[in-house]
Amino acid sequence: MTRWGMVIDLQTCVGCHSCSAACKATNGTPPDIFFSRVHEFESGVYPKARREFLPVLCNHCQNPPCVEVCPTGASYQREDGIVAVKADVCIGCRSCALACPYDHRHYVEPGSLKKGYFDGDLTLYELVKYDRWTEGTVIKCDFCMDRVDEGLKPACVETCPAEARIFGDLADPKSDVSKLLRENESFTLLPEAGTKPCVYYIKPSTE
Amino acid sequence: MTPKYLTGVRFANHFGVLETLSFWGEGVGAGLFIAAVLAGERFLETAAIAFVGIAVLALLVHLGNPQRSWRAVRRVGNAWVSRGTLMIGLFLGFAVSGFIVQFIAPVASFAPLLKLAAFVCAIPVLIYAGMLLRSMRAIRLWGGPYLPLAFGAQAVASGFTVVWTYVKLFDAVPRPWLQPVTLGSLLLCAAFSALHVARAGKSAGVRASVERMRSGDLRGLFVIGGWLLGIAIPLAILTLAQANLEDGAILALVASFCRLYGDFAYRNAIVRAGAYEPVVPTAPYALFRKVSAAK
Repeated sequence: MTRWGMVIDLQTCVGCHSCSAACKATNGTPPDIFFSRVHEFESGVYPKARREFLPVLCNHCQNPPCVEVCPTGASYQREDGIVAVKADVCIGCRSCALACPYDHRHYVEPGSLKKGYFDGDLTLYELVKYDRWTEGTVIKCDFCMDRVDEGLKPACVETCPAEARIFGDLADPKSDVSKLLRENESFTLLPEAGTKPCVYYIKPSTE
Repeated sequence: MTPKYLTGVRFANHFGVLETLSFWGEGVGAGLFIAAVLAGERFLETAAIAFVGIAVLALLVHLGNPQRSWRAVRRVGNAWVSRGTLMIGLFLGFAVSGFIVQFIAPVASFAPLLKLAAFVCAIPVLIYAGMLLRSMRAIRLWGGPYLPLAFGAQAVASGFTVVWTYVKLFDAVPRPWLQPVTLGSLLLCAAFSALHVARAGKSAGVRASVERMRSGDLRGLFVIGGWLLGIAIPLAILTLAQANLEDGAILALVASFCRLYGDFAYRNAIVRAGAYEPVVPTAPYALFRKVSAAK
C-alpha cells in the first residue's frame, strides 16, 4: 500500500520561497492563506552568523487529529495517507483547525472570495482559481493530490530549485524518500503530539 | 505577520465570543433545567429551554455553512461536535414536546415522561462544551479530566443559583434543601475550576495560557469575572444567607447576575486562552532566533 510522504532536506534548502510561490500559483488560495510557507531563523553570532530555513506544510499525519474531530466526515484520509477536505460536506465548524497542532488548516471567511488581492474586482486568474474554493469552509494542503493521481509531483516539489523537497512512497523501501531517511538524521515537527507526521526534515548542518 | 505564521506559542483564535455564548447557553440551560425540575419550577424549565435555544442560534451563526448543519450528527462515534449536536437536539426535542404536550389534554399524561427524557439528555449537555474542548489535543490547557468537570460544575452552580434566587423572590413554598445544595454546587465549581488550572501541566503553551489569564489581557475575564464575580460574590451571599445573617432579595438577585456573568467570563477566558505548543521545540531550531522576532 502506498504511503505518500515528503522529505525536506534542510541542508539543501536555500530559503528562496519558490515552494510557497508555486503552491500559491497552483492552488490559487484566497488572500492571506498559504498552504506552504518558509520560516526563517538566525543562528550563531557574527562573523559566524547563519540563516536557517524551515519550510512547512500540512504534515499529512498518519494519526490526523483533524480527521478525528470532524463531525461531518468532510475531513478524510485517503488510503495513500493524503489528508483532504470535501468542500461540499464541510459545515465550517473549525474544529479541525483547532485540533491541528501545526495550524495548517485555513478557514475561508465568508466574503473573502469576492475581494481580490488588490482591493478591486477579481482578476481573471482569481476568478478561475477561486472557483475551486467554497466560502465558510476549511481548506488545506492536499499534497496536490490531483497532480499526484496523474503521476506528477506536488507543485512545491516540482518547482524547488535546490531539490530540497523530495516526494515519494514512504512504504516503499526503494523509494528516494525511504533511502534519504535511512541515510540521514531526520526529525518531524512536534513528535510528542503523537500525530506521526509524514513530512520529515533532514537536520541542517550546525557547523 | 499574523499569529498563524509564527512557530512559537500561538493563541488559538478559531473560537471566540460567539462560540463562548453557545457553550454558556448550553451549560446554563442544561444546569437550570436540572435544578428547575428538581425544585418543581415550571417557569424556569421554560427559561432553560430559551437558554439552550440561544446557544443553538449562536452555534448556527458560528458555522460557515449553517444550511448543512444537519450533517453535524454524522460521526457520533468519533467526534464530540456530533455527540453534542445530537444530545442538544434530543434535549430540545424532549423539553419542547414536554412543554407543549402538557397543554393538550388527550396526551398530557406523556408530559412527565418527556420531561424525564429531557432531564436525562441535559446531563451530557452540561459537560459537552468541556468534552469538546478536551478533544482538541493540540491545546494542552484544555486537556485532562478537569475541564469538563469544571464546565459542568459551572453550569450546575449557575442553574441552582438562579433557581435559589427565583424561589426567594417569587415562591412562598420553602425548599430547605435548595440553599445548601446551591452553596455546595458553588464550592464544587470553585474546586474543579481551581483543579483544572492547577493540573493543566507545565508546557510552554499552558504556561502562556495561564500567564495570560492571571496577569495578561484576560485577567479581567478570568480573575475578576470568573472568580470574583462568578464564584466569590455568590459564595459570600449564599454563606451569609446560610448563616441567617443576610437574607435580602436584592442580594439574591446580585448573586444570580454575578453568577451568570461569571460563568460566561470564565468560559470566555478559557476558550480565548487556549494556545498551541511551539511547532519547533526540536533542536537545533529551538536554539535559533526567529528572524521576525529579532527585527
